[in-house]
Amino acid sequence: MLVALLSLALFAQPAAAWDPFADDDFDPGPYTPPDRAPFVIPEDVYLVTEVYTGNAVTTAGETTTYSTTTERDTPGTYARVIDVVGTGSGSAFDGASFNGRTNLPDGRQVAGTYYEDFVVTSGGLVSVNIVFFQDDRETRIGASSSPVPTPAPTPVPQPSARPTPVIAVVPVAPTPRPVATPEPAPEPPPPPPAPRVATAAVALARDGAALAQIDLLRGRSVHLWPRAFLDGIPARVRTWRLVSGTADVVSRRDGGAAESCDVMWLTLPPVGTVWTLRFEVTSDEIPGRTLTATIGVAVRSPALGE
Amino acid sequence: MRSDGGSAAVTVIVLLPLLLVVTTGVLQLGALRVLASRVATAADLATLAAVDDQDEAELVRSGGFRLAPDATAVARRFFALNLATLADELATSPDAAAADADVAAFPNVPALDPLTGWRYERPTVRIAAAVPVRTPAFGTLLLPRTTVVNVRAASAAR
Repeated sequence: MLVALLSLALFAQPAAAWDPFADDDFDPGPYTPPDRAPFVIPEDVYLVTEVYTGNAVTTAGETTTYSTTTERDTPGTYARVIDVVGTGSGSAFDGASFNGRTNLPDGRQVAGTYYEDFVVTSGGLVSVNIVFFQDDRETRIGASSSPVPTPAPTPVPQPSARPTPVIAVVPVAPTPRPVATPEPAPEPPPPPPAPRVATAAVALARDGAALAQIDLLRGRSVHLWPRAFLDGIPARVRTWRLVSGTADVVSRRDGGAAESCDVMWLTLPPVGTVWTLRFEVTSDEIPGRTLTATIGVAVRSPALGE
Repeated sequence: MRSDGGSAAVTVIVLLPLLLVVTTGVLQLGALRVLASRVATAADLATLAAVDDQDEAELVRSGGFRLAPDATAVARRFFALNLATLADELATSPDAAAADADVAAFPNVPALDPLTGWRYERPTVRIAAAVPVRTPAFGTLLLPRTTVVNVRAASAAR
């Protein structure tokens, strides 16, 4: 047993697996990189077939339309929709487009679509600019204007195999096409005339200043003149009527332009009390309307100092 | 038994002048106090009369209360008129007393009266006067026959 173990230890050698190609002189040859994968235009990127030429604002009757003008061309560039905005809604691309985004007369931004333009290079698509295509309209109703709710414009792909939306392109060549120079927008329609404001107030003289409150001594008579104003300009009073409030002495409770309401207080109200007189006033220059004029009267009386 | 009649007579003779002096002084002081009150009332009424008017132009313009432009003159005039009822007891004429009075108007508020130190929150008219009045009883006591009554009055429209 001992001899057998010693023999194994002395004559043992490592086992080697058989290599079937050990005798072959294999040469893999020079390294050749694999062929590049063919460039594929992404699905959401379209070939440009019409280019941006400017913004257009047209007015027909009470409706103002904000649109974009284009011209037919295929400069070989691509574009994709990056944002569709509604009237007045903001976008992360506001201010990023080269042609800007127009405002409505009320200050809100018009609706439309932001496109990003690309050129194809050996490295793939390279973004060159962003353009905004406005698509909105506004209808004025009476004195107030409000844009007709327009759904956010949606780019409509062409039914062809490769959709070709109307988009703008700025070529990367050093001689850019003048497609990015928007036409000057027509003058916006003049704002409608502001509604006329009719007010009434009480003065202490026929053409005196309108007063909200007066400090009057007890026993002193004062002439109250109800007055009417149209856009801040005095309007001739046709009639007036004292509808609420009273005094100890009231000369008359209704009258015309030539009469004043003479009042006087003989009693002192509690401290801090202000009597309020309310008049209804009519004017020929404000037909069909009855205006309300109020005046507060704080009745005072002399008193010794404390 | 001794009589004390002489002793009583001596006491009366000795104390009667003192009693008269005290009585005279008390009566004159009382009269002076009443007079001073009437002079003060004359000043109070004068300031009230001055304040019982307002600037018409300011009322029409702003509706606010402003003292009449002649407020001080009205106060002085009414002070003289009120003192006229006390003319017999004054050591000067009512007009002279009113003319010598310090009458001031404080149309702009708040204001601090430099003479009295009073603070006014409303337009105020103030009279400060030193009115000489007759005090004849004091003369019999070898005191001044004239006493000066100092009054101060102020009124405002509240």
